[in-house]
Amino acid sequence: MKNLLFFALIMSALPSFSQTKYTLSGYVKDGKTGESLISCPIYIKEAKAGISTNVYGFYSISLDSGTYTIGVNYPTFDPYIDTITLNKDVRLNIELKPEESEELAEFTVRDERTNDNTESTDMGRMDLDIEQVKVLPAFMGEVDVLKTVQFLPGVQSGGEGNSGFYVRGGGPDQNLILLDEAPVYNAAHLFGFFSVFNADAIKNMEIIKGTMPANYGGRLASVLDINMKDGDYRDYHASGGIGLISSRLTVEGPIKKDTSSFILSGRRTYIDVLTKPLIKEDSPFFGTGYYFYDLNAKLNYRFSDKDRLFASGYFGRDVFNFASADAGFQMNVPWGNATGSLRWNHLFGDRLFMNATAIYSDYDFAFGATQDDFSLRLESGIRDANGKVDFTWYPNEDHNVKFGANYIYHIFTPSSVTAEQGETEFDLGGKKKIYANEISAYVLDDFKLTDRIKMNVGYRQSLFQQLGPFTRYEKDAVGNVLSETPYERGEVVAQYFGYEPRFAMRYKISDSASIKAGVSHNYQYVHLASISGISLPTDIWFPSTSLVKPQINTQYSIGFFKNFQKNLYEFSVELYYKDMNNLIEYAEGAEPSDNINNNVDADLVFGTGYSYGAEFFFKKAYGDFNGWVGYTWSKTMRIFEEINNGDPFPAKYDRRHDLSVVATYKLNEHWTFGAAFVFGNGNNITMPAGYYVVDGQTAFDYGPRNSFQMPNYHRADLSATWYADEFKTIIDEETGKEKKVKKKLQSSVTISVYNAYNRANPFVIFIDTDGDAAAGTITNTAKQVTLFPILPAVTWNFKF
Amino acid sequence: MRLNQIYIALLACVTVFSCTKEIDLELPEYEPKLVVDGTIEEGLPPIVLLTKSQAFFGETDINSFENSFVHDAVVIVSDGTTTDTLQEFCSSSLPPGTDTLVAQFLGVPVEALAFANICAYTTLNQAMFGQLNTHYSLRIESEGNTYTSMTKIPNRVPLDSVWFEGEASSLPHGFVYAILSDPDTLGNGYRWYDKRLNLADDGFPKDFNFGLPFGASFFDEFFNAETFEFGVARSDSDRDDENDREGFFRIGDTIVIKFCSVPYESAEYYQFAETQAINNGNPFSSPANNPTNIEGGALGVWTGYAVTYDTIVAQ
Repeated sequence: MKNLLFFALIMSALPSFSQTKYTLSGYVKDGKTGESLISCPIYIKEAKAGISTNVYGFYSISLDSGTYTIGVNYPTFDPYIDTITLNKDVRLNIELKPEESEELAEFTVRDERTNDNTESTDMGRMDLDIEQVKVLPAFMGEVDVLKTVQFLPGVQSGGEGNSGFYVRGGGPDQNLILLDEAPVYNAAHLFGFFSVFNADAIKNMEIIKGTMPANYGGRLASVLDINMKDGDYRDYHASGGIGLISSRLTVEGPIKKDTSSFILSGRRTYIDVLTKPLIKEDSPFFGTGYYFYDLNAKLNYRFSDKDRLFASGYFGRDVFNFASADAGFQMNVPWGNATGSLRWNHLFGDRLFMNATAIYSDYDFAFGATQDDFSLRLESGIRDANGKVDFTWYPNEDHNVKFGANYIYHIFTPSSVTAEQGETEFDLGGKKKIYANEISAYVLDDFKLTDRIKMNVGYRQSLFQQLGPFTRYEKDAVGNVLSETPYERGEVVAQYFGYEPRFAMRYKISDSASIKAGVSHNYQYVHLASISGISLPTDIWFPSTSLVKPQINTQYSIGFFKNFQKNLYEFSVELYYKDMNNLIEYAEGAEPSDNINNNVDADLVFGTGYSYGAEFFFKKAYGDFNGWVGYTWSKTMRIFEEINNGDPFPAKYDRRHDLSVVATYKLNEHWTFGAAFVFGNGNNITMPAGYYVVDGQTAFDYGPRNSFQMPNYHRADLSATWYADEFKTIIDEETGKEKKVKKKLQSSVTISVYNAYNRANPFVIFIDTDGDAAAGTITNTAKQVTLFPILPAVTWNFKF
Repeated sequence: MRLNQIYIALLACVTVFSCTKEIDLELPEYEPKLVVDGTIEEGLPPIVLLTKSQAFFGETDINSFENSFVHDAVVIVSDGTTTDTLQEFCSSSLPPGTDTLVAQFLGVPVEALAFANICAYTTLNQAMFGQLNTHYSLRIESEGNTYTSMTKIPNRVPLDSVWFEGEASSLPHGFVYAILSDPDTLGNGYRWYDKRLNLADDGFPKDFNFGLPFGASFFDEFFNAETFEFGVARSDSDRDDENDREGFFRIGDTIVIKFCSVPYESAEYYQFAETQAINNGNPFSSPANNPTNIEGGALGVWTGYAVTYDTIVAQ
């Protein structure tokens, strides 16, 4: 019934489709490099209508015949104004000139800035400007887009050493992280200290934490959509940076001018290389080291205005080695992601845009350890083959219809352990993979009902199937197999349908203020379970199976959005309530087991959760001084029958107060300053409340789950970036006069100070036990580990 | 070697490369729980130590240890045929010269008897002494609460062979090795104890009591019905001399291995407890309580032991 109503609504909303309309369409590009510009707003003055480019820089709008003034305004570009007569379909490709004069910049600030945040139906959707991210203070000088996302309200960091982020009470697995449409399953390097995204290769980043439009699915909490640069279509460039712990290099350029381009970007840390000479061969830690590297590559080819092809890929690896000669112990832990996507854009006529994508995505983790003659290896991972097709249809100026379908074939390796002692190899059952289909189709319409009311109504239908070969074991408490149910290759083991309506609306109070509301119902079929107390690469991805039901949530949100001073200042407050079902955790005390007559999902337990909160956001969008203040008040609880005696307990990252202040200031053409301040209540952890002795051994009696809150976290970071002169003066040979020409080498130096006032923030708390319980001399002391004191860093960046 | 190795390595890295400071934690007031440390061994009477758990960051001294013993509880053990109410005995009222025997009997260091009044519930009723392949129920009534448990003394699973082997790089030190043939039924638990009988310089044996080395409690999850060889390090001892090496036996040692079959639930408890002790609240590990087999809200474990002894001389 709901579906019928929905389609009736769409069809009834398209009366103007039968009138005579002409289509204005085209691409918006950077006039210097030929890069397409994403989410670039285009205004048609006389029609009082506007549209934004999609992620490929394409726009299309159908209007009555007439003469129109077209205005385009995009940060860091000169405004574009043109007049066109629309008496037939018009293809208008717009090239924006990079902003060069202060006067123009001033004009754009005061008169023409956009009010997308009050106009659109989007809630909890934010774009991050990569150029702004680059001048913000960065940990160890490494620009990190994920860390910047964590400055936004409603997005919480897990603390230092944790690049997993937590959106509105959801877990880190509930964020769909896309790099050129390929899902990235582990976005962290160095156990979370850095993200896998090399800012040099990124063009645009957008996060949706509110009502997720129907074209996104498969996760409950948020979408972080990251697009790589296409590469310069006109000139060859190299850019890079040399920092304290890593260096990076990006090369880009045309393969065929204005038709095809490439970009290649690499980064590697060299802590291991720097520390190697310091760890002598007789040191107990000889052989300990860590490094990571990543490589981004992208090629694209414009066959015509109607057809474009993109091939992009990412490959990154972390390698951690630990050696303790005293204990005869060695450990090797490599992990990493690989993604590849091949995309084809095609334009059917001027109003129907298609993007067909083939994606490969892989994440794997391995842990190898040897102690004397015993060795053990643990592996886990997830691999996807993914095909999708998305259409955007622009029937008229009031409607923007999207529809599409997606098929993912998943191969999970939840846990595989091999072990040997001397020449004896233990039979642990080998690798047991789990196969699954994830299929979805969606349709949505973002449309204007009246001048005041705009709606985004969508529906997503999903289907998940766990496939054979698979054997389901039922076991007793000791581990004896009670029953065994085998499934053939391709046989459906478990199947779930997901009915996912999405609804968002905007009510415009005035040109600068609106109220928005949204409801979304999402299904998630892949799950991350963490054995450890913190988020680590040892966390394991599981599919939904006959035991593991899909995670489901319903989110209700409402918000007030207001812009001031011609959109120079933006303010919003959003309230949300979220209800989560079928959340998963490891059973208390579970450890990775063997695969003999065993199902890895048997160690999981299931529960529910809820979260509610209020998010306040104030932003100065433009100008030499800009930035934002975000504050979130929230509460997040979990209820698991098998954990905490079934009593509700706060989520690990249930944080009542969370504040971020971010600012950048451009003093002059040489100096730009950045500052950030964060405050958040401490994470909730489970601490031993008591101890006791059995058989001479002291044991812990842990208190209620997550009942102890670590000290508050707060920190300020500062940065200063100095840009060398862009121009040099030469004597013009023809005129004999001085003239300014752009230098070939552009460079800048960024000095950043992490934790500027040297706050001792808690990373973890551990127990130091001394004495003997049986002798009455035992003392337990809690010790807080702080990872980073005040930490200055300097990075030299260059481009030529 | 399990996943906790990675957590230990992580903590080692973190503490080496970071700043650590002592902090005061404001934890909610702790309500002590009854702790049951109960054993019944083949041919021996049941012994049940009842204590109260202590607040984790509370003040401790010898009094708090002594005061942790729970007195005047009603402790009833039954094998289904014979039911007996155990009596409470305390070390302060032992006949002179029996302390070593009692310490061994209770499984506590002999020194502990000297400075603390240790109390245990047991019986002299020989009909209640442990027998192979027999189930034993335990019922405790204390301070208005009732706690129950069940264990079994399983059949003995003796080691096929036991021997000492010197480590080429560490001579005259080495480890004890054994071959075990696990029965074909899943769910067999084991515990391995060692003791050196040869005399120390003071004329007393190197070890008064049996000790548990690292990895001494295990069950047949990974080796059900298999025959395999394994090596074990020596348990800690505070009576080592300068010729001894921690974790190693030495050529010349006379070594007794006490190899016990225990129920799966008990082996799981002890293995878990060992892991928990190694992790020692390591924040990277999972914070979970040891899986008790006591019903009613108490901590601890009630275990039946079937025991075999092997004595070897390291050479």
